Amino acid sequence: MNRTSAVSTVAELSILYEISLLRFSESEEGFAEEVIEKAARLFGMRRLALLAGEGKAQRLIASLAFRNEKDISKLIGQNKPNQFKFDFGSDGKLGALFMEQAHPIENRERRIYTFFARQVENALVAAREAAERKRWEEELQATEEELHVANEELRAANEELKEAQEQLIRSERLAAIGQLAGGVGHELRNPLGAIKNAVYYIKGKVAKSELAQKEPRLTEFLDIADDEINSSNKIINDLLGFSRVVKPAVSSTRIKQVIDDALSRVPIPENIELTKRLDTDLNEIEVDPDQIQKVLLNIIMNAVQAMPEGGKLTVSTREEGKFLEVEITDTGGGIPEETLDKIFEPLFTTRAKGIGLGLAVSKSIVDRHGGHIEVKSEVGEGTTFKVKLPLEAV
Amino acid sequence: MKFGVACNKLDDSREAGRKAAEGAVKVSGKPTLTFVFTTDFYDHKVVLETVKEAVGNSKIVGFCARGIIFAEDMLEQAVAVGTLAGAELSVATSLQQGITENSYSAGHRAGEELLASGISKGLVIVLPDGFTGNKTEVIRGLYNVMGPDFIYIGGSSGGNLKSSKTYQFTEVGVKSDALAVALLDGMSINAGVVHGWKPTQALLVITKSEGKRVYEIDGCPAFDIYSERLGADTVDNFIKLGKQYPLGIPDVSGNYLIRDPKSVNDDKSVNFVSEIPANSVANIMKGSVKDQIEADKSLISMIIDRNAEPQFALVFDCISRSLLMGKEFKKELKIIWESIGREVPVFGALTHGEIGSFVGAPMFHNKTLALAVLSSK
Repeated sequence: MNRTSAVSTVAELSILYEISLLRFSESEEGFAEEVIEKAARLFGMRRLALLAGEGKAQRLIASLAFRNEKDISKLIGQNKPNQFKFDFGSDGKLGALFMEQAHPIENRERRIYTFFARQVENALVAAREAAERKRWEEELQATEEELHVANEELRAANEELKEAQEQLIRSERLAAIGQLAGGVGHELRNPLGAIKNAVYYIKGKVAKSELAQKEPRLTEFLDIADDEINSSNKIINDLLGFSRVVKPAVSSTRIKQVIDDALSRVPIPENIELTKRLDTDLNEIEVDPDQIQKVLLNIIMNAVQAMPEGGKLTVSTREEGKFLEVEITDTGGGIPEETLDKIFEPLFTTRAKGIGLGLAVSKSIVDRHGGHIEVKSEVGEGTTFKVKLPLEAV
Repeated sequence: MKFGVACNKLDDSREAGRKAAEGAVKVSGKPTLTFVFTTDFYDHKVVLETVKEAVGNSKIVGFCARGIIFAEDMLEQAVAVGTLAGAELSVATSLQQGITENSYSAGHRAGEELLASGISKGLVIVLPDGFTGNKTEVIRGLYNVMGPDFIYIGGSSGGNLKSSKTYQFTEVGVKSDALAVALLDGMSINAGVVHGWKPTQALLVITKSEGKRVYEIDGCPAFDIYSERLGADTVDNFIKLGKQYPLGIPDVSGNYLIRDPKSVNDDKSVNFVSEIPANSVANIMKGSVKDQIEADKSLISMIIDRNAEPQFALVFDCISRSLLMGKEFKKELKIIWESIGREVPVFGALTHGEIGSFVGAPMFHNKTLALAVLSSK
């Protein structure tokens, strides 16, 4: 049978179209199988070898009816009329397609096989480019990930730096305020002492004279002056206390005792219900008991003042990780969010009386002990302070 | 070199096997290779044991099939035995189980076993299970080991479709989901595969397929496109018309690989009897009994060696061709027999897919006639 005449134009176009659909879709293995299948079915090829790469790096990615690679090199070199070889790339560096059929290859067949080979070559080049692109994308992704990690590290470092700066500013500010407070307090204390003595003398004279009977408001005004002198004295004591925050004199301390002492020094109004949940099994910690008592006293007094209409005051203790935690909760009016982060700053106060040094001093003391103070508050619900002190001395 | 063929239609497996084997051996003498083709009515193990008693140390290859072709007859119940005897014959067989698990590997292992015999050319008779595995892969595995120095012919086993199992055998035993192969050298062999299907102008592009299942044709659900082209309004009608108008995938030598639609899935994908190559262009084919018979004659005239005397013909004819031809099928068998020569024993089976090559590498076909004619050298 004349093979050429047996093939209709439509069939030939169908074959060419089918070849044009050859794509490197999922894997090299899948593509290789498709190449073999098409070469065997469309062309009736007896043998096929599809090689990729060049020289020693050249590898066989598909073969039909080759028992070993020695067979391939032997057959490829024969260059017989029934054999077809196509080198990929301008210099054959991309690989080669070798096919062998039963009869000599006609010109028409050779054209179709060349089209097939070019399609295989295009698919391999596209696959190589896709693999290269994928590699670049992976490298780019890896670089992006590294950059992301570096950015995160930088951001964390910036945060730490900012915190350190703020700490430094706070410390410097505290030191400056402490120095000023010490000076002012000292300077005010002597005149205030003289005033207090003068008022005491006048009060004594007035009490024994008729003036007390004739001018009853005189005694009242002297009492006011005496109260205000006491208030001023307290402020001066605070200022001097702030300026005297010194290195803690640590000793093994039972925190329960410190809390009980602090509570005993604060008069708790009847409308405030005190609840103590103090863990009796807690180990002793290395702190300065006087300084810590001062901290707790400050917070407890604030809590009591926050509940003029009454409420609940709860003091509890527990161990949390590496810290001993003292928690003081009130059911007062709470602290608005916008002022919550300012309450530890010196001279910040929301009260009519007081100069805003209590919490700043407390924080300074706890920081010196290697601990920290946390606060959570909700307006209308109340406030919780947590004083965290290290279990192991720092 | 002598050939003997005999068949028996008795119900008893032992008796049918014994009489068929003894009948064949009586003509050929002690055989070197024995073909045993049975229908699924029989107990194949009993048949094989009985045949072995009659043929002695002969290598055996065989399977069960829907029907036996014996000269100009198609027998729906029979044991047929063909024996080839002669000192010049060299034979090897292999039986590989598990073509479902790894079709390519089963073919590969079979090829390695046949080559281990030292025979370097000849006819490879390939008989895989017709209901399991991927036959295209089986053949690829076999051909990749054995290569183009051999001629390949064969068909897939089958039955009356009442059982999901079919059987393949060699002298070592009877298996299912297996591949039985034999390699025969020592005589002149010509073989080919043919059909009379002709392309219509209706071209379809298989845009999405996997194995035997075609999801999309021309980018649309396969059933919608194929049934529209056939003018089929129901699935039943589509399957019926599809048998008369199968798909044909052209090759460069002008031949078409035929694929039969078998069933339709809920997603409108279509299952075919055999694997459909991905990204292929197919024609809708048409054919008449006359076309098929003309094609048969053309193949026979091409493969018969005019310089040698045909002595034995091995035939694998597709079951669907016999169903389509109906009563005319007997006419086809008669013409085949007469074209080869009435003095030549024609021996074969109805198969669920045929194996052979138009040119070059062997393929798995549907709706074809695969024929090997053996002559003295």
